[in-house]
Amino acid sequence: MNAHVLMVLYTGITFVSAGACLLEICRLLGKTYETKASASMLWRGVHFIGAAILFVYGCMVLFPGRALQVQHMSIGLPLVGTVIIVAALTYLDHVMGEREPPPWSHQFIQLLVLLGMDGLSRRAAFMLPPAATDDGPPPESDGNRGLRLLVLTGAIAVIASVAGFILTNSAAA
Amino acid sequence: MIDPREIPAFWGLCGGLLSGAVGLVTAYSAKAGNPVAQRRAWLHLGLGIVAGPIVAEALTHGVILAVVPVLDMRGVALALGWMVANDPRALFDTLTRVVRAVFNQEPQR
Repeated sequence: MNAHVLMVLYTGITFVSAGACLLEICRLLGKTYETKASASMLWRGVHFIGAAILFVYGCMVLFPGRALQVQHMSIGLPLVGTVIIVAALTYLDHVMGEREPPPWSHQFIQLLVLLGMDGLSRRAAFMLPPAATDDGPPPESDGNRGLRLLVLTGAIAVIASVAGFILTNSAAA
Repeated sequence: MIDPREIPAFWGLCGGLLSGAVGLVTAYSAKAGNPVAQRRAWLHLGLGIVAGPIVAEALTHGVILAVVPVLDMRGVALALGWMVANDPRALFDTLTRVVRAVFNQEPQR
């Protein structure tokens, strides 16, 4: 495991994650949880095809076989992957703010009920926080949002660098 | 030239940094964040930076690798640094249980 392998792994993971974001956007644009008119099938199909392309390309980078030469990958591809994942996450945030789907936990319990797992869904429902905490009052001081994002970014950078160092210097490397 | 990768304190510092950074991410997230949690997270980061190297240097070669020599130094020091930053009492609990097990004095259930 060296720095180049880490770079290839990062590239593949960013592409696969961007594909997952686009797939979720395609689902949210449909008739399931609409608060506005749902998008046309053509527009949703464009999202689905984009998700499929990103997913297949990410999988090809992660498991290249003979389809792709990742030994000589340039630094440009991980940068492109970063741009794509940031854009996809921003788009997903926008669509979720517009459509307002129910929280993930509710959808998960609905899935359990659909599958007929009554005991499991009941136990999961008991573990939910009370509904009042889900839509509490908005935070009154949003002024230090930049500071919060800065600290989060720094902490994530520290975690990523330490994890990369461990991966490149462990006993298995 | 000293290679820091040979020193347990460096790996303990890595573990403490990891634990402190994970706590910071939780404390500064949108839903769980409040000023008390944020101050506590910064203090935990400081604890990891200070106590991680000390505990890793003190316990890795002296105690754990002396008892179980097949373990890798890097992993042991990293885990020690993480543990002392994450929950210092858990470290002493574990050590107490190890000593009790050595002397066959475990509490019976």
